[in-house]
This record gives sequence, C-alpha cells and structure tokens, in this order.
Amino acid sequence: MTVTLRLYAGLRERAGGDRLEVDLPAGSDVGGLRGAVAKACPALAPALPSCRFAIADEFVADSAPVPPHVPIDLIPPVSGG
Amino acid sequence: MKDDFRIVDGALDPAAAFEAVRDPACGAVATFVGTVRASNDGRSVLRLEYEVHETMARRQFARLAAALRERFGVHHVAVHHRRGVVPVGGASVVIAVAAPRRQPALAACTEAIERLKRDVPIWKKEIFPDGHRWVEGS
Repeated sequence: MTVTLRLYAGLRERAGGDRLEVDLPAGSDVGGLRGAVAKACPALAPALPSCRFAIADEFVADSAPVPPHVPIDLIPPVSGG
Repeated sequence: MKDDFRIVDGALDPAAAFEAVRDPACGAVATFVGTVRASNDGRSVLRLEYEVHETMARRQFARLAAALRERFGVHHVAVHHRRGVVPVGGASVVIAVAAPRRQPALAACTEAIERLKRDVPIWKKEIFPDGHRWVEGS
C-alpha cells in the first residue's frame, strides 16, 4: 500500500516538500513505516529517531498498525512556547 | 470549566487569557507569558516564525488541560499561542490557569508550559542576520 506522510517545519525543509509517499507492505506497523521513510527519503533519516508519528491528531506508538488511505503526520521534536 | 485555546495570527494580549479563566470560585490565576529573546546559543536572533499543526495542537491543548484538572484540581485553563512572525520582545505564548488556591494554580501553570514544549505540535524558526534554523526540541 502507499502511505502519504505530511511533513512539517524542519522536516519539510529537509525533504524539499510537504508530502512524502511511501510504499509499504499491507499490515505494516508504524515502526515499519519509520524504516520505510528512511529508505524513501534519506535526507530525513538522521532526524527520524527523534520524530513521532500521529494519526488523526493523536500520537501513535511504533507498535500501532498503519491504516490504509489515511494521511499520517510525521512530527519532529516540537519547539513551541 | 471554561477552557480557552487560541492560535493567534496577531499580537497576544495577556489580559485576554486572564479574562477567559477568572472565576469567583477561584482565588488564584497563575499566568505565564513566553517572549522572544534577542539571542540564542550565542547567535543574534532577529525574529521568530511559528508554525502550528492546528487541529492536532487543539487536541493536545485539551489533553493538557484535562491532565492539569486531574492532577491539580484547577478549574480553567487558557492557552493562547502565536503563529507566524513574532518580533524580539513580543509574546509568543500566554497561559492562564485558575484554581481555588495559589499553590495548585502556580504548579499547574509550570506543568502547562512544560507539557506544551513537549507535546504540542508547534515549531519555531529562528531568523538570524545570516540565515535561519528550525528549532527541534526545547
């Protein structure tokens, strides 16, 4: 399946765009997605260990399943305040 | 409960956050105002630019307020955060927490800014005289 990731802030700048399409075997979990992102976009690889993923506005663990047809947010370490 | 979460494109007014939470049942309103510092890590900062994932930020503000209510017994929480360009000296965030007494209000206000800096999807870009940098983590 193809997953659409939405990129923010420094990640968008590193990737050169605000979307990233990643191919992934059906039934993958978020941890698998993390690995696939590093391969699909090597510019993001150094930042990935400190990033979190979010689905439907909630953070998700690496053990969570990746749902089909839902955009997934890649959240770099936040710096509000 | 009258929580008040705002993502604001213009200047912040700390009094607005205070007005949003004050309550005759509460004897304390603790506030925190974050402002833009003129330097960071030895570099001169001209201004900051804030990016906000708005729907998720609102969800996380609500979680933050629920956690403060459960842990400290506070009544109301206001968080107003800037988006876009904020000049040096300008306010980037205002938090106001109302509670019956001062100790829980002050403790909850501290916890609120710490949680915001950890879990709310907002990012700042520092603009220097010779470039810029997205801040990751704080």
